[in-house]
Amino acid sequence: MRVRVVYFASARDASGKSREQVSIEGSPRIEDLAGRLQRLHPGLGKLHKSIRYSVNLEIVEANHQLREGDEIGVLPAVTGG
Amino acid sequence: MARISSKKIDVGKILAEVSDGAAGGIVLFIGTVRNNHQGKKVVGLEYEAYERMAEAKLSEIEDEARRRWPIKRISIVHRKGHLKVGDVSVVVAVSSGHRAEAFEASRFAIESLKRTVPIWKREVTAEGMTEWVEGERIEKLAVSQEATSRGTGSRRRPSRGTSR
Repeated sequence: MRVRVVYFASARDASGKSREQVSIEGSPRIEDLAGRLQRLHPGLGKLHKSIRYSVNLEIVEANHQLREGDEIGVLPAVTGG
Repeated sequence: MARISSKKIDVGKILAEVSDGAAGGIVLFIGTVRNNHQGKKVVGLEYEAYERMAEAKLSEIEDEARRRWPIKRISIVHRKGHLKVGDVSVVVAVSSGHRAEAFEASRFAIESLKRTVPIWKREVTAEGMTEWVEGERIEKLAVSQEATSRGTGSRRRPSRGTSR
């Protein structure tokens, strides 16, 4: 399946892009996609502990099941205010 | 009304938005760009937001504040883009019949914003270098039970954690 991945702030710097389409086999969970993104962009590794993922604008847990066309946000630690 | 703004925040306009004849007071929190951070001199901040999600999350904070306290109106506006020292980065405005709930709800709103809304900032130094500010992992907003049983009416639960 294909999903859209959107990177922000330090995650965008680490991946070198603000968005991309990613193909992933089978019925992946968000943790599977996270592993794939880290292999695609090794710079994300050092941010791993502070990153959380959103799916269609909602924060999800590691076992969240992905669907075709989902929009995944790669969200480093937040600093609004 | 919750929003991300790419232009200078008009504080007077937000005050007008929350004005209410039944209110006995308005609490206004204004966040501004500080000229230092952990001993370093800072000349500006660049804010970035996952805009659609940030506006949705700001709305959820407003909804939750309304559930927790009997406030009249609430408005949260956050900047994105380049800001200079002294510029307004965020405004929270709350009106209510009595001051206690306006103070409590506005404190809740700004603290929740910092933990649950996808916004990032980087510091700009005098040399023009930029560095992302270190923050906390984003969290989900903890909502009152009624938020998960919509459609059963708009009854407000008594405020929690307040003493009157």
